[in-house]
Amino acid sequence: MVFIRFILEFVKIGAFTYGGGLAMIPLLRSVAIEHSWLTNAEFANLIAIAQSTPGPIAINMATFIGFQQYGVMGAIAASIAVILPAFLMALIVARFLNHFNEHPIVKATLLGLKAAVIGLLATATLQVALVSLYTGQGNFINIFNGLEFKAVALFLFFIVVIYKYKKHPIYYIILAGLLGNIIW
Amino acid sequence: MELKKWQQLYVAFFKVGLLTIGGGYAMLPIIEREIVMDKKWLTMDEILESYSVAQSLPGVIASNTAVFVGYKLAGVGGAIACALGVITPSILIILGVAAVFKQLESLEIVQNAFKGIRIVVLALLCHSMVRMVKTSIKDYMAFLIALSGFVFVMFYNGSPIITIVIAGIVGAFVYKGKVK
Repeated sequence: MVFIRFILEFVKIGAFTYGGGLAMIPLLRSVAIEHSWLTNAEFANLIAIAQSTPGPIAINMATFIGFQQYGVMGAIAASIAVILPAFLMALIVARFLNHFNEHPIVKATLLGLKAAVIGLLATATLQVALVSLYTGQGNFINIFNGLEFKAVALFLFFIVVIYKYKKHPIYYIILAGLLGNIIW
Repeated sequence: MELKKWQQLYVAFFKVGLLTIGGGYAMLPIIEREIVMDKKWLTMDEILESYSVAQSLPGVIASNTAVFVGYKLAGVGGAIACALGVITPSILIILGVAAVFKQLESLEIVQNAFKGIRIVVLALLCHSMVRMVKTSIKDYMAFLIALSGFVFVMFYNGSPIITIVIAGIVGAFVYKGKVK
């Protein structure tokens, strides 16, 4: 029963993710924290792992959590569950609804969805800030309390470098792993 | 031995899943090579059309695109073959990575690496957010929807799913007359 509920969580996430991998981050995060599958820091690590291994980010994250909770079966079940709702919808659209995405209601709905996804991603981004820029866990009440100077400096460095060079994330992730060992 | 069509599709999308790092847009050139240039099954225009429809559905864009391409070429069986093909490499590789990561997680060198990596993840997320704001926040209403969603989830512990549903409904009403 617990396993079925686990799978249903991923079906739900798959049904409400609009805009691909990044859009899934806030949904997956809220479920993973709620069920204590991962801590905030582990979730941030997972984003990096999913971005630097082959395959769609969303599938990678689902597979990882599935494996962690229920081993190989969990990994397979979670990744199939997360694509299942869209799979069924895509079949219906491919079969019956030509020019589905050109319909005004669909376009209008998507404009609303995409705006909301940005707000949601902002919440996930702030959570990642709390676990990456602070010693221990930061909070938003005293934002300077526990703020780690070296971490902030590294963050600013990467903001500039990413903006300037626009390389694939995997290069920055490797560089950050090296710098992490030099700095700490 | 000649492979059946669905087997060929599975193999083609297995390659797409394997060679796409990061998902989304990164997948297109690989689909182009496998499906358009190599096999000549579809034209690039047809692929791009599938890709754009795939973005208007929920879920993973890569697997949605795979479903459209598979369905066009070989019906429901083709759709299943392509969808499974695109996720198989992820499952195999992540299984390996997760198993290794579990062993190494507690090492100091790995801990320090991830201390740096979490910071770069933050920087990458900020970067993506700026890009998304530029493409999706084009008027006050979109800004208001994004801000309300943020406040609802961040400060009122609101559910992301409820936020998405409400934003979709609001979007449908607000933008209905404005899009062509």
